[in-house]
Amino acid sequence: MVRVLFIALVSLVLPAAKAESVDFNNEVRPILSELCFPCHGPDKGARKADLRLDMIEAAVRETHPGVHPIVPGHPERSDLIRRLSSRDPEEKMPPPKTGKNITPSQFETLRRWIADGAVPDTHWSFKPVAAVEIPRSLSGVSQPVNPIDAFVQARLAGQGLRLSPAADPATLLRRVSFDLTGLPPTSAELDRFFSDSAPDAYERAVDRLLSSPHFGERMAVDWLDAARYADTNGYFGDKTREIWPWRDWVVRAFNHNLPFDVFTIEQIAGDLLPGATPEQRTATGFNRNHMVTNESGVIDEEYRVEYVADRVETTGVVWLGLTVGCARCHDHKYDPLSQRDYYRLFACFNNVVETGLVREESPPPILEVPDAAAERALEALKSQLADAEAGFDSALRPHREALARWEKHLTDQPPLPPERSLLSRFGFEPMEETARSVGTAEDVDGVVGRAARFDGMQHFELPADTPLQADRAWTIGWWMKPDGALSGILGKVEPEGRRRGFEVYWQNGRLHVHLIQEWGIKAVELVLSEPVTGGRWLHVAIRHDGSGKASGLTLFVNGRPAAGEVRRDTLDGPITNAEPLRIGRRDDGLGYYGLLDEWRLHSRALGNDEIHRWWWDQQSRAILAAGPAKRDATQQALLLEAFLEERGDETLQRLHLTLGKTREAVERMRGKLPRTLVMQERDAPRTTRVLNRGQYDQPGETVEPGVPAFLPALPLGDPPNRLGVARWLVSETQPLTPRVAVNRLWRQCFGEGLVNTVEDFGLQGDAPSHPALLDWLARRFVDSGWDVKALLRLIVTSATYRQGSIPSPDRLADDPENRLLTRGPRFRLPAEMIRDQALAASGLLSRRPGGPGVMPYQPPGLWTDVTYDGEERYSADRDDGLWRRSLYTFWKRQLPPPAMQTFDSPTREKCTLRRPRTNTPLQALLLLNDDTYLEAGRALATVVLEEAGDDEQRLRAAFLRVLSRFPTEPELGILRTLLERQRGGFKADPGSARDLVAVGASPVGRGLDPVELAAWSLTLHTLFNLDEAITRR
Amino acid sequence: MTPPLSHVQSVNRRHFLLGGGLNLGAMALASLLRGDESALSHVAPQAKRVIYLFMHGGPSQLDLFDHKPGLAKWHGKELPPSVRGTQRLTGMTSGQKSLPVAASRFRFARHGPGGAWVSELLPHTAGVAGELCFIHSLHTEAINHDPAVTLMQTGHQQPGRPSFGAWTSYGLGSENRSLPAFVVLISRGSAARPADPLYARLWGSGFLPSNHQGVSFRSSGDPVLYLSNPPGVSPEARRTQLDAARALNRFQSDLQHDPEIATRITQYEMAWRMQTSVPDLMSTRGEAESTFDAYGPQARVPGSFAANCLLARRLAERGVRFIQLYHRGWDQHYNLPSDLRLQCGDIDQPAAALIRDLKQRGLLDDTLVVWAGEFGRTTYSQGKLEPANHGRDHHGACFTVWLAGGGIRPGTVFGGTDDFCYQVARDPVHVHDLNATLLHQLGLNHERLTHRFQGRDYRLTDVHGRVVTQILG
Repeated sequence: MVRVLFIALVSLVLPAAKAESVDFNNEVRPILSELCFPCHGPDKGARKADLRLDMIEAAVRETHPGVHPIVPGHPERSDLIRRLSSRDPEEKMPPPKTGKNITPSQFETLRRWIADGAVPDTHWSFKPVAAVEIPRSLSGVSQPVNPIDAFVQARLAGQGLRLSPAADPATLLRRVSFDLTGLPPTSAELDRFFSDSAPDAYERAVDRLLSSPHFGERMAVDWLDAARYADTNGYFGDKTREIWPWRDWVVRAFNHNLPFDVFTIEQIAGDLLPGATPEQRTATGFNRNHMVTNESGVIDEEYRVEYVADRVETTGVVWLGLTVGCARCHDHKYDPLSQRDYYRLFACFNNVVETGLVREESPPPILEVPDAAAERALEALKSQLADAEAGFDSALRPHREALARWEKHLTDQPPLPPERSLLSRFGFEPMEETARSVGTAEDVDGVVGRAARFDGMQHFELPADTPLQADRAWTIGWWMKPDGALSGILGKVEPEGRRRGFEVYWQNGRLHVHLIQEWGIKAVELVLSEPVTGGRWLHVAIRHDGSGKASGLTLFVNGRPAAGEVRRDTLDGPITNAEPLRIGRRDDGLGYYGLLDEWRLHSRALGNDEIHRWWWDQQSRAILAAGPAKRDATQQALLLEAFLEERGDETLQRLHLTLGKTREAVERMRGKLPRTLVMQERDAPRTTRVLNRGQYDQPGETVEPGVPAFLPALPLGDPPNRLGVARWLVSETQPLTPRVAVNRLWRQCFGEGLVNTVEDFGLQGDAPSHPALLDWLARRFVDSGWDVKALLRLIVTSATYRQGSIPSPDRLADDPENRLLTRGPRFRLPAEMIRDQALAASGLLSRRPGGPGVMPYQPPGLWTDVTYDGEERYSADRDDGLWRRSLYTFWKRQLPPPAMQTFDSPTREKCTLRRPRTNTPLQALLLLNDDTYLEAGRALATVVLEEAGDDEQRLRAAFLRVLSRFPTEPELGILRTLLERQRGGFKADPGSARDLVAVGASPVGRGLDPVELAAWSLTLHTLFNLDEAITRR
Repeated sequence: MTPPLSHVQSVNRRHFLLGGGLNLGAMALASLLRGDESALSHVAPQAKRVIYLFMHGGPSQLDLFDHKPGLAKWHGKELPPSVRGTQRLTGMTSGQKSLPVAASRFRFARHGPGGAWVSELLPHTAGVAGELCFIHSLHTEAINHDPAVTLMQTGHQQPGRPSFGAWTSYGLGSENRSLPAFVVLISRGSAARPADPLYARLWGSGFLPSNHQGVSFRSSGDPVLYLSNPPGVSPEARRTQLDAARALNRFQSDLQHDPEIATRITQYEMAWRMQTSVPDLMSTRGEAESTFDAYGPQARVPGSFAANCLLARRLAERGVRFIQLYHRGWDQHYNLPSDLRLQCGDIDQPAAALIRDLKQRGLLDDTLVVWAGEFGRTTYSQGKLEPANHGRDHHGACFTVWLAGGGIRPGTVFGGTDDFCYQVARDPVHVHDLNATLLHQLGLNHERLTHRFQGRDYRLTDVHGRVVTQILG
């Protein structure tokens, strides 16, 4: 049996390394991985000459008579060395066409390694996280504040370097406030900190920040990137989904300091825990955050496979730091992860009750997530309902026989809808010629015969002379089962100009009916007052008495008149046009989503009873056709209702009415409950096969669920499923998860990880700058019970973290990228913090947590190109949604908030663990001209103007609020001059002053002179534009 | 592999500037608005820039370029199963019981020295056929819009990769100090059917630094987001504000030894310059009357394809590296005869005028113009084949694109399809091959323009692609 080298040596104790010996992990393997493994590594599909160099057993074997790639101790006899140094293009390795070359120093490293005996070693991150001894403190350096410093100092001492002095208190408090809460310190917090001379003042400030409710919000931002969280579905139409309860779960989890192992298990498999709570099920939204498609025409299985693959890749990279996705199409080229391993893991995520092509905007499985109060109210209603049901059932019992007789009578003599004055009907039957089909609608079961399914891509047309006019009486009606929020049901309307005509569309459960002479000016606009629930069959009728007035227009839902809200009643002329009547489309744009059946037009105003009968006749026909055994609950209820109306006694009718109202109340209540996407397993697991080249339609051998073979096995007794994987990720023997997790927390505080490639701990990833420190932190993290707050506290209270970030010139030469940690970390703030700081410093920030995504200011028109036919528009909120923390901003994947994207936020289409930090002119334009910052300037001006003081005191106060320090004299001088010049400018042009202070929806302070306010606004707005404001030092 | 020079440069620059951390500011300085004299070249570049005319929705190759007179006798008859083979169909027609062949209803004629067939719907394009190279044998695996467009523009069906323009910006930087390297212009077609959505990822930077993402210039409001000064803020007031900010930033720069601050100061100055250079670019008042006439009656309508073509030329003149146009509305599932005519009416004259205009100004030699959709359309009718109406479903197995300028051999026709225009019959060109060829013309070796992400070196062409040398001039 061939053992894989990485596993084989895990348990071997290597002899103490000689000073001059080559370090396999740090020096040798990166060379082999980069130059050799692509063709001579773990991927058997790509392997050339049947030679692999990632296993020593294979590499020392004779390949051709007398030829051994590696002969331990004898580089001169090793074919590897010969081929690497060959000048013959046929012989030379790596082959010239790869464009790769070995450098002389790399060559020498390999040569020495072989000369030393070619002893391999397990890749560092796959080794168990062993206990590490803290380096003893060194003489001549400052006492370490905590063990982190001991590790860092030990490394520095080797280079003759030491830590920089601590940052000044203001810088430090600003730094740690951003790192732990994402907000700058308030003036009061700064004051308190400046005047606190106790030795543990800083530690107490850290504790305050860790227990702030804003801690969870700051932590969540990075996690949302990792989890690819967004409020829309991403592919094609990019429709809105509801999964914000998961986002709020994350914030709460961080605030409650949920141990990271629990945090892990609940997000990956909370639904599979025994007695899973709604909270635990909500947590599983993590792996529902991937994109989904509603593009008609996609092949269902193709996309379903993509969703599963996305889960596997995201989970692999977030917890294991492995580019698992590389093994989807072939064995991994660098890491010992086979394609089979990939699909074993895939099998664990392959059992969700889901489809590839989604129809709902929030695709199932979903969970209702009421808060406690809503839950109590719902429980109370449900118990009322049970009572009402019981009461009615017992009253009905004596009438059962009469009901059966009545039903038989109905079946024998089926009723008919009104026929008199019927002008036109269309039944959506196949081959029916009445209407012209434009696009292909799917033919499905209907209320009467067949119905048509629409997805906005098709409609039917009736002739232009269909008499739907303002001066004629008519009644139209149809059956519909709408899904989606916005649909054009029918229209005979001009697509442009005055848009003269007639149209009906559906928006969030309300029907909108328009008779248009001149759009928005001369028209009747009637909207259904009470929204109705979509997703089920409804009969709709519209009656017009020929008056052309709103009072002459009546809506009917399921045979009964429904109240309408008159939005306009100004029609005074004809609405005639030359357009066809389109069924399934509003004009040439907005289409219909859902089912339609049985369209009818009468050339007179039908009576209420006729319309009721129309509905009932067609309804009962479907119910009777189904037969008693096949009727669903709604059908049974309808039948019963009709019986009661015709034959029931008064008591029975009253009890039934109560029952109906209670049912409705329950439905209404449930309709208002927030919902969230969750994981849910199928009863029978899907069979998982290896997919050749990762293609959904090329299945190969069947695999059982499991974890990669080169990592520790599933703990005994754990099931080989999602729950097993979740527990395995945080099991005692797991080498990767704790290292990967602490590295990310380190990056949060230092800007870069100890391992730079936070997303790749495999063979192609960077080696850690401080391996012992990383392992010590990982061990400590696990031993502390995966305590996230404790680990962060440890990091930010270290002397290493507290160093000043200004480098001395010689330090720059010794440690240009600060990999040795010779100074404090400094980097540009993430997008969210830049905006949140402006809101906080100006007093505009709304600190309300949670809830659906909000819509702050955004330039108009951005959504038009990225929605189907431009059917969705962005409209900014009119309440505190304008000033909430940025993590609550509605995230549309195909047009992420520009204020975030400009500062390097990802699109959230895929998992992201490292945002770039760019510095661009578009950022300057944003900070200079976005309403958010202008309004913040005005709000900040208002705050300081409402306080007593002179210009200088006010400038100082504002400066402190934004930059967490007081200005120097020269800085103050510049600001004073700026203020004076703006005053002069606005005094000369007071109209401009009024324009500027009108920006933003927050109220303008009363009694403030617009000229003075404008001058102050623009002056203080400058502060948000300083490099210092958007950098954390 | 050799890392792209822009990357090497930025690293060197970082060391030179003695910067700390791994901020990408230096990189931004080096590329977003950098005047880049020393761009990366693997091979001798033929083109300095690209104008990509993307026909979003999938134009019908059968009705525009790939003339199949033999289909007339098949019109209305069932497409032979042997032609279809195992080719997969979209969910929209896979359930359709009958797949009747729909011969094109448009007249075709040969044009240019290469004798390329062009339909009557594109008379102006026909007039410049001598400058164009038609590829009839392009093919893709994708059969739906989202994956197909994403493949064309990022080299992968699934999201997450950088777009073509972003790769170009990354590899070559910009030649203009006050405009972005990668600009996007969008127009909506006249077809009656709804226009499919676009996705910001099509001009996104994927895992490349975000300064390489395309900047979408808009036809109403600010052409570039946040470009205009706010209400009530005069240029003088703004300049005063900027001067104060610069002075304050300089204090910090002296104190902090942080090169990012110097970069930020520069970027604010560039922002100020953009407030002039972008409106200059967008204002076509200085254009001659004859130019407007050449681009057609829509050339004065902001946001039209014609206006965007004219802007594309202005951007090319200013050295913008990658100019991406999207024209929406080419998804003729139904009403093909009327809607296709409308779409062609939108683009025909402006696209031809662009070629002539570039040529006349000497820009065509080093500007690569690409006209392409994400796939073609089926030979069979989607829905009922009526006497005057029918539709066509998506078809990825063969479709036509044309290229012009930038060292592509003009007046040529390359590749061919079978008699049913269903499969490639000779010289297949995969989307990756097309992209490899386009990069090659820019002087970039598609196998060497790489970026390491998650341990792997990624390319625009994934692990595929070969340069189609037969079409090079």
